[in-house]
Amino acid sequence: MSVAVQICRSCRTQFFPPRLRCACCQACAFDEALVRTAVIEDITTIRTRRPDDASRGYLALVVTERNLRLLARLDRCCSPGAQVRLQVAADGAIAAFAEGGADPCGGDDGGSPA
Amino acid sequence: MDFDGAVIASAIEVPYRRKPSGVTTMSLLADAFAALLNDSGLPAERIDGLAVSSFTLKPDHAIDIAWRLGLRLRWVMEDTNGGASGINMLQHALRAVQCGDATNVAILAADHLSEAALLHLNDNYNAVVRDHLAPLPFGGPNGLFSFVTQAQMRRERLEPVDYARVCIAQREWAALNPNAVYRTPLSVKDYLNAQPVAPPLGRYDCVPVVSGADGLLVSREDGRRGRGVRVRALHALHNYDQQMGDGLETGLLLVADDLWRQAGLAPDDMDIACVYDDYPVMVLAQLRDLGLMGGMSMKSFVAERLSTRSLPVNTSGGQLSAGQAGAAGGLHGLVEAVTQLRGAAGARQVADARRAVVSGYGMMEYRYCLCANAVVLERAP
Repeated sequence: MSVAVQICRSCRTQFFPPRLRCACCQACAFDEALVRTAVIEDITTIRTRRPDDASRGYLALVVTERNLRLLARLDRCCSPGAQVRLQVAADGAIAAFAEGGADPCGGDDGGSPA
Repeated sequence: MDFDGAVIASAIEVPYRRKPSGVTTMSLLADAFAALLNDSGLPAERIDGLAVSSFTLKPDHAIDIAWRLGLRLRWVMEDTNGGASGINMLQHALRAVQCGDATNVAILAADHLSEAALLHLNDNYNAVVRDHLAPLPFGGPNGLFSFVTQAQMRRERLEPVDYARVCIAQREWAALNPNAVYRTPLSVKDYLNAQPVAPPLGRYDCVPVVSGADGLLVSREDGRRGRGVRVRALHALHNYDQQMGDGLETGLLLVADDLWRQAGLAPDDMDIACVYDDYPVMVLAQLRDLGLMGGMSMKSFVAERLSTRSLPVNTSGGQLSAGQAGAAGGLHGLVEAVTQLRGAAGARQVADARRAVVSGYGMMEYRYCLCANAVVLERAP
């Protein structure tokens, strides 16, 4: 499922997460748009602190075509500038999937991608 | 409107501790209240206003604290704005005293966060965090401020060693503060070799979670009682960019001119700055937004003013070295500044400190925090 974002019906500014009123023009009516791709702006490695889960994962700040910044779980290490496909995962998180190219971290999940 | 007629009469901190036993948020609030009474010499019966901030108070509220403390109040408030809560409570308390709604307002903040409570708080900070960040997972605020740090590094051409200097300078102050939880010297090598947390953030970029409490007493100005600290100016601007920017600025950028105009002072007049230091990136952002860097580049400011401690910044060691006691972190800088202005800071006392600026920053939303406020303080003559 692609990522649904809000579009202000009045000024067409996009928002995510959803707002009650447009932050630009204060309009209250929104349309919905689906975002399927974005470009990675930055990436980091997250170590969860949950007692039952000591795994690491990649977290990315991605920018959509309309300049909306989203936070996404990344399937593997990528370099900033890489294009990603976006989906909403079953747990509600935005998941980003890198499209081709080599893994700049060499598949080392414990390495620092930054 | 100025703040004449109301002063900060007392400031205390219940010493911060890592994972103490036999402590609760409620007991820390009680200890803070007792310390305020002891420091001010006021009997509890004279306290007629109470402001409280805590992340772990639920299901209780400020009025429940009043009941437990046996207080009869004419004025009560609770603040939920984290790193901005201290100055927010101060703002309201000053006006309450000025307007005669209360005469002596105790401002208290405390938290005792277990590991489980911290994890729960990180994932349930608000609905946006719960619904859109926790499922990622995002590693708490560390993940978000990794991105803010990376953006600041690009824009300001900073390197990890520049952030090391921020942490090292605060650690040098902490070495002089017997109540700081981290006091051992920190080197650039220690910083650069530290365990990664959310790269480029490492262990020393993140605050150690502690249990503790802070308190202020705001009272009607009384010429018979000395050691008071006056508020020359206070301004706030929350949600200034609607989370549509990059997080490199805070609302302070837009209110700094008004702050200095109201104070009748300039950034160069400040003897001390205490800025909310959840991460080094935000220390630098607030110092720049407040105008304390003047015309210097951020990199030069770090090397020439902050690292040398020629401008005393976060003289307690800040939260990065003294610890972050949850919502008490919102009062920590205020308490330190008032302590300095009263000449009671012991080995870390800044000589002849007369004026200080303190800023608050807090309440993480989707990518960075929403709240910012600042206050200019002056030792009463």
